[in-house]
Amino acid sequence: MSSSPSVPALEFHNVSVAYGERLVLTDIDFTIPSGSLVGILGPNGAGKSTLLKTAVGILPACSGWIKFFGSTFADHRHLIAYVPQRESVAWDFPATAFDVVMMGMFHEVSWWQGMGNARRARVVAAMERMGIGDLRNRPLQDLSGGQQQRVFLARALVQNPSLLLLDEPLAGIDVDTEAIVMQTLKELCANGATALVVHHDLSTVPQYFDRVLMVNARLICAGATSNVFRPEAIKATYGPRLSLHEAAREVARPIMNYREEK
Amino acid sequence: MSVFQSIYSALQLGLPASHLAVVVIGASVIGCILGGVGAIASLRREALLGDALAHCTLIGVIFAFFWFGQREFSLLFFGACLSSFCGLLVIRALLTVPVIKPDAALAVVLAGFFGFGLIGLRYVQVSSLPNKAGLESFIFGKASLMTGADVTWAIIVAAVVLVGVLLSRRSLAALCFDSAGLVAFRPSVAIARIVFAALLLISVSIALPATGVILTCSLLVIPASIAKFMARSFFDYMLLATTIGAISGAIGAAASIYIENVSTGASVTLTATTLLALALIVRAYVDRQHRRVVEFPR
Repeated sequence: MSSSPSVPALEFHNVSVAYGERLVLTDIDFTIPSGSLVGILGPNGAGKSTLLKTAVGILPACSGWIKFFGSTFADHRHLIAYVPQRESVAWDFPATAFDVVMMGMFHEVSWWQGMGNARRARVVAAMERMGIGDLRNRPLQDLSGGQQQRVFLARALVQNPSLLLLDEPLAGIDVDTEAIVMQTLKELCANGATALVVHHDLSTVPQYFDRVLMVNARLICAGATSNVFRPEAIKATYGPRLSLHEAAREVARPIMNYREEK
Repeated sequence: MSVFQSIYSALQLGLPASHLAVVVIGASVIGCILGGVGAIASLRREALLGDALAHCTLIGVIFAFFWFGQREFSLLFFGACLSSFCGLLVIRALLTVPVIKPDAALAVVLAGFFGFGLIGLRYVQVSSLPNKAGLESFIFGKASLMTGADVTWAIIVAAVVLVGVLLSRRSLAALCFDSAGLVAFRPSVAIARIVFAALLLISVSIALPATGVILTCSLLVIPASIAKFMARSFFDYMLLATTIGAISGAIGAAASIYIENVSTGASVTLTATTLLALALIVRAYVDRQHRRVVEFPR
């Protein structure tokens, strides 16, 4: 499925990104070995989403280079799945959950061909893996936040990706969905895939991720969670002004988002 | 009202029955095109771009009339396409200026090109050019002036649009839903973006005889809105929008012939709006029935 473990899945070399005149990310430099499950951490506006968007070429880097499995993005496009923030998509699109998962395989067929029964079966399998097999024919706009997130992850799964980039997949979703999303990611990474996840809930980091990238406009630190994810690093990332209250709010955010949605 | 009755009434109005058929077929084909392309534009929240581009066509029609010296719509059509393409380029250029927001860019191009077109039209009207009669009908649309050749041309354009939409159906769907998310499919989505712009240009230009410059937007938006709350899949949605566009075009064109001196743009828009109102009422009724049967919310 993926390249040999010696080749890093993703490399950033001195990457800087700017919105107009304003630098959002400066000199980001890290290497992610294949098979890692990586949490990207940082306060709001730190550039976490920007980092993912730059990786998949939605935003241009103004300096530096990015390599995927030791080569360019274009060479490995079909191995990369990107799951954007749920809010960035118009969920009133007239389609069923099944149709959206099918989109994950659109690149495999030429424009004159049909999708075929084999691919339909793959869609069903991916949806069942995410526990939404019974929502197949449900219109998109009737889905809850958690169900939408599962549809998005199923769409990434049907691609058989070697590298997954997920932008806040756990924001504002229910506990069951969070469990099934993380379980699926762990299984994928155990089989050699690599996943980068923008994450907010600091309390679950050691439990979920084997590596972390801590970002606040610059890369604060990158490495194995057990070595890097320490109070000093958290303070350096979230700023010295991160009071106990703010830390608590940062930790409680996913729960609060979930309540707001209800 | 039966077909025979309508033909009979048309005869009484002094119109040959075949001409009524020509007008109704032409308007419904145009309604089809606008309904389908408008469906995509609505999902992309770019229906107003279509409106702006439609307003850009007038000046192109005037220039084409000057250039060719005749009122043959297949020739004027190219002028319309060209000037709405220019309008699109100007909008793109304006968007690169940081202080100009998208709505302002659209408004500037819409108003600017249309104003320019009106001046051109006035210039033609006071000139001594032959065949100038009827050019002003492109502002609000006058389907009764459509000829068999115009309809043939509309059918050719409809075929081109149909082939374009069918071939790029998946990329268009991806473009409407999330254009950036499908990393592996992005090259096709990039092509779909260009295909969509081309389809929008062509469709607002072909619509000139039926809906005119000003009211084209109604057929881009209203059939899509009706289809939106009835369709469950992208295919259904496109099919419904084209069908509703065709029905609005046909009824509107026929009505504009029966009611004298009503521009087709107005009657087509009114027809589509009536259909929208009916659909809203039916939906409200169905929702109420549904609530009676199912006591608990889903």
